[in-house]
Amino acid sequence: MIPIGSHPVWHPVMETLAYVSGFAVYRWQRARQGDIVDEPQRWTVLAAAAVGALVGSRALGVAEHWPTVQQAWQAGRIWELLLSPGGKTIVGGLLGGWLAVELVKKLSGIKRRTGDLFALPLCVGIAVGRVGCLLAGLADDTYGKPTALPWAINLGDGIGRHPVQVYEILFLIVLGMLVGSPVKLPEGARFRIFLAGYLAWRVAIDFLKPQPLIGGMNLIQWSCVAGILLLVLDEVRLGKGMHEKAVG
Amino acid sequence: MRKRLVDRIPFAKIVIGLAAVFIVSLGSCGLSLVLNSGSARAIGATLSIGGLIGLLVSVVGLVVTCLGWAILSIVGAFGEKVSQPQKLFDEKDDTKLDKQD
Repeated sequence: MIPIGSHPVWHPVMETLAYVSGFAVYRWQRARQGDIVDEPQRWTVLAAAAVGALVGSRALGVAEHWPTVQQAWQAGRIWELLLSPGGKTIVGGLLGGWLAVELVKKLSGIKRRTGDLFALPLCVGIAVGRVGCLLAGLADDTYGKPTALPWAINLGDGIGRHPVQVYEILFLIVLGMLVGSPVKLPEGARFRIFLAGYLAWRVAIDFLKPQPLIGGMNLIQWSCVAGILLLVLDEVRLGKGMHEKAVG
Repeated sequence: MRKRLVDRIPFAKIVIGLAAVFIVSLGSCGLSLVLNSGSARAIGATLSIGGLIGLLVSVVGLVVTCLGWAILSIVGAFGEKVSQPQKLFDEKDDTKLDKQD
């Protein structure tokens, strides 16, 4: 067993580093590749993504702890719970950010697909953030199920566990190489590959996490399934639109 | 033509700025906990107070800015419709008149 222990104080530090590194990669990519939308439109998209991600990550994080929310509601401590640190989820952030951007694009008449510039930064940001989850250990809800594998980690309770955070970092390196490759892809494809890949990954990897299940999967997994379905529906809609354009 | 209020205020940049403050405050709160558990308690306490103020200001600021942005966008869109100049003559009629002249 590899001793890691639990150091929850490092989680917010790594979380901030995750945002900073993601933004640095975004700026580097934008300077290198240029942008398909003009500056004010990009600011609008960024703002929508930031607000949507903050709200989405918190909403799903709170929903994940539904019994605690119910108790807090009954005790009149709902604001305390909502404003307490922690309890944010990456999947909620991704879905919230994505939906907010789509909504704002529709309202402000932005027709281009703006997500490609976010694909690689998200891979880097999530990977850095997962280091914080690994260091936080048992204090974070992202640790793995017990295992007897030689690379099992000990988070301080003497039980060997799957290093699910390390698995995810490795997966993100592969996904990052894919979405960051210089191969020419249609507009929006890099972001969609990232989103579909990450959501599918979370459906699979969350089976290795000891979390309460609803109908065989946890809330994050169900959210990922919903996200994948939305992506498929959107692709079908876009495909239809392109077909009608070609015919008409 | 005069720009609408919603276009004159850089809401998107304000939101990004506040989100950045939120992120840095979150990090400084975390760092203060790390320092408090070690020997640099004075720095930790300063960071902790700064971080909490930053978190509070950024969250309130984000809510207020987003609400303001949404309200001004709605009002702006509504006002745009209302203040559209009334067309006294149809374009086709104008052409007819020109031809007659």
